[in-house]
Amino acid sequence: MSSSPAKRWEIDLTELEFMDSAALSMLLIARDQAHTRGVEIVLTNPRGRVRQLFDLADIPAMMAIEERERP
Amino acid sequence: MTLAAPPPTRALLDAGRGVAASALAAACSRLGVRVPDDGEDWRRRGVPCLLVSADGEVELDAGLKPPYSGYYEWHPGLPMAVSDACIDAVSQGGLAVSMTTARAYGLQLAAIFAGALAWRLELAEAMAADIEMALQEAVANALVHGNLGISSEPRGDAAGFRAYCATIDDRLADPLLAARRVEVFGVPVPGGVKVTVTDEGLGFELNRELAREALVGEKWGRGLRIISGLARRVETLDGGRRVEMTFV
Repeated sequence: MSSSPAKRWEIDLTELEFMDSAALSMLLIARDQAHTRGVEIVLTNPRGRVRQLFDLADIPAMMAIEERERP
Repeated sequence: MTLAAPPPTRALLDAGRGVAASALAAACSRLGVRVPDDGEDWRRRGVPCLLVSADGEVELDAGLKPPYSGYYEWHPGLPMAVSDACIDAVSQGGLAVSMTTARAYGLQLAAIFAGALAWRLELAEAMAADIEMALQEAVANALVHGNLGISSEPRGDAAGFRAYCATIDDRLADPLLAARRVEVFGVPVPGGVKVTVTDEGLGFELNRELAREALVGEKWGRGLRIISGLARRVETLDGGRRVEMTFV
């Protein structure tokens, strides 16, 4: 019998150009809410200033971030 | 007996939408600024001039473009208190904005000011982007934690975040808190620009807050760390009611 795969919700940030620390707080709250439902939130393709903000705020240590090829 | 020469005019205030020139002149009579005389060609003389208006975003935008050097929100129901720092900023070739918390909250003040400053001082695109990100954090801190006196600590979960937003609405409905000013200045310095944000709250101690951010490290309180990572130098003055960020 195989176990079902863990659920993942992806948030595609490809088109996002700007965010601030208040939005980071909301992402982290969403991460915790999802976790209680057995779901992992994955942030994909943060670009430019959004990626810079993530690095400054140490987000890569707290949330899954992945780069994806665009179809 | 010799009469002292009058001090040179350091800056002018021009009446915009919603402001009668006579009311503005009367309010300015005790300050080191004045309104232009009838027919005075201040644009040609190069005296820096702030646009004074009760209007919001449109006049803010106009005040940050030539021939003006800044925007001062005012109407006869508000005290007229153009700060020395405001006059200093425009006298040094910079830009200045002074507005109430009620007006500034909900405006994209950081983006508007950073864009205008970059254009005026011909800043590199990367520096302009850093200024906008840092200013977004500094202005939010000044408005919410400074002028509205709200701690960010309740934002631990979704219910806490909703309560935090409700507290912001409650405090904005308090006319005394809503009338507190936030001021933003940008002045050229060798190789870059110094951007200053002031508020009328209780202030804070920069190093203590940075240490606290590093300790709690979770869902709130990253603004100062972000500012420190973007600006070459960050200083707090006036007990933390004035944050100066230097970008080079």
